[in-house]
Amino acid sequence: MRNIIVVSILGLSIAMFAGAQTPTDSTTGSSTREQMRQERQSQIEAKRAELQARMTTIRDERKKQAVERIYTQVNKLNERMTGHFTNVLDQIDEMLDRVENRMSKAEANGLDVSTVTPEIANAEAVIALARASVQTQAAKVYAVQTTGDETTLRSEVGKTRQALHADLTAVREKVKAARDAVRKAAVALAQIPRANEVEVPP
Amino acid sequence: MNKNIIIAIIVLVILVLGGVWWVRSNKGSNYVPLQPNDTTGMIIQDADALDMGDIDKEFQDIDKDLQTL
Repeated sequence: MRNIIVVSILGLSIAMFAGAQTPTDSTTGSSTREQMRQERQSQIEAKRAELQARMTTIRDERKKQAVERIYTQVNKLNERMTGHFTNVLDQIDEMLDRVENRMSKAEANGLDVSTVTPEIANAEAVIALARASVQTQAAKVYAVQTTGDETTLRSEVGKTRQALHADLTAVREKVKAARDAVRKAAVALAQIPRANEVEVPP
Repeated sequence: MNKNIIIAIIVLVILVLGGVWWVRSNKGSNYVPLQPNDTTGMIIQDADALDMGDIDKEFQDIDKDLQTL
């Protein structure tokens, strides 16, 4: 009996130690994100140095400063908007969980949920696509391609601005598609009679 | 046995059987609404209220600087 207790305590201790040593997914995920953020930051700084070198022919200091400011703003805006889209996708995911939860309860009550299951599967796929799109966008660094000619400066910088605008609009459409897919699943569930009620014993 | 007692017993038996039948036929049909935040209506409402961000508004500062070039 004593041996069994000793072996059990030993086994439990090893299991706990192993559990503590295994990194969780969230830890790995956050360190990867941090690494990606640092890499992106180094790229931004490298491209800033390139931009400064290309602008040596520009005499107007105010214009130079404006170009640098736009360069910084463009990349910060990309970071802020992709962060916002990630938060929105987290909320959409949470809404889909609620729909799934409601569907399970309706199914347990003997209701036919066959119209909802394909909508949920579709929503999951659209959310995954949107997430991939946001991640790709978040990794992008926008450079200002200038020849150093003051007369073409506005159009050159404008191209960078347009590129970010077009990319963010495209990502936003994917996030909206994810929201619409979850909404569609919720509507399909709402159309089932008594989907919002729960059966109680008489 | 008194005729009235027999009739009373028959009525009583009918009432009991009727009660049993009513309870059985209503079994499983008691539904109560779920909590308000768990309904499909609330989920749809939350989805509609999501802030997708105003991209054009976010570009205002950049556009202002762009005009100075």
